[in-house]
Amino acid sequence: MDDEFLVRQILGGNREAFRLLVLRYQRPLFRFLGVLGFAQDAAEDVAQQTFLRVYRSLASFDPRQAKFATWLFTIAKRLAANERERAHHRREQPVQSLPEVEAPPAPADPAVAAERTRRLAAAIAALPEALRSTFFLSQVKELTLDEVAAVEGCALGTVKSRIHRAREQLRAALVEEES
Amino acid sequence: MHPCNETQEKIAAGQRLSAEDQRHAAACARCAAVAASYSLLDATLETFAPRVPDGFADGVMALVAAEAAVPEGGTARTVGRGQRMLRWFERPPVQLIVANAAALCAVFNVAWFVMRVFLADVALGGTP
Repeated sequence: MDDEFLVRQILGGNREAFRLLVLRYQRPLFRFLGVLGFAQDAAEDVAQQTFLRVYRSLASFDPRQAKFATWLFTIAKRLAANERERAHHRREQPVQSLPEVEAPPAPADPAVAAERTRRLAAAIAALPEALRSTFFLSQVKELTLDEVAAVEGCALGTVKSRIHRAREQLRAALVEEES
Repeated sequence: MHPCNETQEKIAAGQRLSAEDQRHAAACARCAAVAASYSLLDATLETFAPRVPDGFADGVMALVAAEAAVPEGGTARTVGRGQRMLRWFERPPVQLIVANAAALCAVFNVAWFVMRVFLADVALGGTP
């Protein structure tokens, strides 16, 4: 079942179809918010607001203009920016630490895996926000690079350049300390 | 000779390698090292994801149900109405408007008080 079919189902009154959309996008959305630097609670809050906003605005979604995933991540990005701004005015830090990871990587030595994850988390946190946001949108399998450009509001060339720079910085952080 | 730069650019950008590029990357020590380092990055990234809380979708669906239950024009809230109002007042433009309005009121009140005292004084036979 593709996204547009589910959207039609929801608009036709099948509210449960929305659950499938939430289940489909919750993990990529949390991943996106997590690497944007939102702590667990703040990420949950923004993710919840995003899905609720999507549900409220579903009637205005036009599949001829954008894919559902593009639309959803555009909303998420805007709400994340709003939340950051609000936290800034409250003199709070939504960006505390990167959220806990689900599982350590697979190499034989778990200590090596944990150390790699820690280094990667630090390298991600050190990326400039534009690079981080673009790079992790590019990791969302549901989005093409053109769609990432649409969400980010920049040219395709800029997206490619940001991905290249982000990958290079992260790779360097992993490899340098290992060698 | 296969251009190493081209292959390494593709690896760095995370693009799919053609069969020719793959053969080259396997045979060329420099490209193989670059490919290995990016494979390490990709493998580590794969496992790097924040935790989706248990029952998150149920929570969203409960909010959606609440949204459907409220009368037209109302909305289900993820935060309380009071909290939302407080957030609204925390916006700098709102704070600026409120501060300016308060300052204007203060000036007007002082002017009004002085004028009334002054006019009353004149009415009682004082000199302006």
